[in-house]
Amino acid sequence: MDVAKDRLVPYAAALSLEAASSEIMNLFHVGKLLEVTLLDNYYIQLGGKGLCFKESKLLKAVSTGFAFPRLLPLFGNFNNAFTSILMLLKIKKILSAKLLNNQSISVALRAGLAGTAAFANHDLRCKELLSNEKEGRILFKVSGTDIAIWFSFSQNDLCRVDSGVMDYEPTAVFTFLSLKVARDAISGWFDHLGGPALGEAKISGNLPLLDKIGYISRIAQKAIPSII
Amino acid sequence: MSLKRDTSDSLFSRALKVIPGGIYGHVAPIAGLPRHFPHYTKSASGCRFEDVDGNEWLDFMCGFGAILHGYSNSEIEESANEQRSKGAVFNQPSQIMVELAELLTTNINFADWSVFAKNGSDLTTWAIRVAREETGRPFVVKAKGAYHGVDAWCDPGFGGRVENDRSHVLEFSWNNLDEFRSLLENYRNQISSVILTPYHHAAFGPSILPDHNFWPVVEEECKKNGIILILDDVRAGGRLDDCGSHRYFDFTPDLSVYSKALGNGFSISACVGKEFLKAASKEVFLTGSCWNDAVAMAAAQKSLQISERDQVAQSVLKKGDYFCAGLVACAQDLGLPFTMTGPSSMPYPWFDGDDDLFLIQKFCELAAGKGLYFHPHHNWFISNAMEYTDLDLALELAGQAMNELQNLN
Repeated sequence: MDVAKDRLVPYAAALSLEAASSEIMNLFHVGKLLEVTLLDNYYIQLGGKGLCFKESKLLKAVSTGFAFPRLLPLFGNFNNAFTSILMLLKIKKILSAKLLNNQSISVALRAGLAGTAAFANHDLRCKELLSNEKEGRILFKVSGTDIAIWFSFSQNDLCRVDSGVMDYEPTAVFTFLSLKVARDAISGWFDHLGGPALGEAKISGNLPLLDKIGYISRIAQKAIPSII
Repeated sequence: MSLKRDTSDSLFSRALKVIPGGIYGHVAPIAGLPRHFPHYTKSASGCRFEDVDGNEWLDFMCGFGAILHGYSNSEIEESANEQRSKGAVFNQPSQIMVELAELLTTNINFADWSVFAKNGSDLTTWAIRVAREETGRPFVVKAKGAYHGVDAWCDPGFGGRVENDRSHVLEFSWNNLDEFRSLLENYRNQISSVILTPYHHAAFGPSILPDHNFWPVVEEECKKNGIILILDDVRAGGRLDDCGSHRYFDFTPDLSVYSKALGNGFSISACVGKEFLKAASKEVFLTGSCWNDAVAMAAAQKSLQISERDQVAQSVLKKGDYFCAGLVACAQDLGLPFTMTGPSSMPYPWFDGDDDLFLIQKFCELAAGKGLYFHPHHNWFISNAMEYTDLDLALELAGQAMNELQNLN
């Protein structure tokens, strides 16, 4: 699937929301997957028919926590739209919570990496960076917790983000020292050169690949607005 | 064993406030073992260095190759000090520049002239421009994954580039002569130069020696197609042959670039070339305010003299043979699939099947705990200051590290 250059940022933001909803469902066994569909005329749909945003409004929603969706589809599919909105509110509550806990970091980390994956899959410069890589499975962990978010890809498959225990070995592991460090990283406050040097994170495995994904994540982070 | 690192960490925290990333480039902590290697060095002598926390290390990186005769070599320091007492940088170059150029053109069999700068990159980039000037062609051919410096046409980073930076750079896989020939065919009369290291010594992977017909074919094809052959001998220079690595592999480049070991730690690089490129070299601007630094040139002159007198390349190869054989034997005894790749004076350690590097990282972590500075992602370097007793000690400690590694698995 090709994504137009001017639609990539809202698309990546929407995929972050989809990933966050998926992680919430994993953790709490409730809610609804906010599956992303790109529509014509710069509209984007979350969670099936009902909840649909102009892309510019979606970006406003992810950066401020609120924006009006399109009303016509909303009233036409009210129940579905309503459950999607409930999930959006749940995401907002978790991501904007001041208290750090495993669940909030897990959701935020997976959402952030989904934005990275969107850029890795659809941004020309980022795709080029990974063009010589056959496959990769990067495991992101937080020391002392069971948080495990996987960023993976293979030659025949797009980059994807999953969580939990996998039956394969990682090609690289990035371990944050604490929830706070992980939160700083998700918020863009982590010094990727300095942090590991001071023990705030541990890196091991295929570092050149980690380096590339790190660079893509910083490109994505700079481009995608966030409520965090 | 956990080493003291309070001062290292404290300095690094200060650095983060005033230096982007604290430490950058190939010596950035994340490129090595961030919590097992020190961030800063206090002093070094021979084949050992002391970090800022007072830990002593037996060193196998030699300033990433810059140190060939050992840290603080007394003869080189004496020459440098003597020149320093007269001054380093002046309005004009000093006599020593002429003497150094004469020494290089005498020692290096194909060299008719020499120019000087400070870093390898200064002159690898300049050399490809000389080739463009001579041939009037735009393209340069290099090996995939090869490092030739920090300039935008070849640096291994990602940032600060535009598409045009590499639009005239073509790549082939090392030793793949079909790919090489195909590039030459597809870009007939458009390629100005082929720039290669004497063997493939990329980071994060085993070193690859040239196949027996690699250099003869490359040399022949370059001649046949009017392409300038540039040898990037920045890293290997002085460790394979005292008079240039092309002699070790028996070929002749048109231009060759040296740095690292040339000044034994003093910042200097040199490009030497054949007579027919002298005119083109005069057309490509080359300068730097401190590039005529007489102290570095005095150090380089002495370093070259020592190499010739003591046959240092042969000596470090012999010491490397001893060390590599010992380490591989130790691994074999433990059933570890370990090899040392590349020439023994600058070997790259490799565990078979360890493509994602976890095993070598763990081994180097364990070795670091014993005071051995083994890099997990870069070839190591043997310095001539290493005595066989140092190598025996290193082998004993490395053996302990391998034993611990074996017990972990």
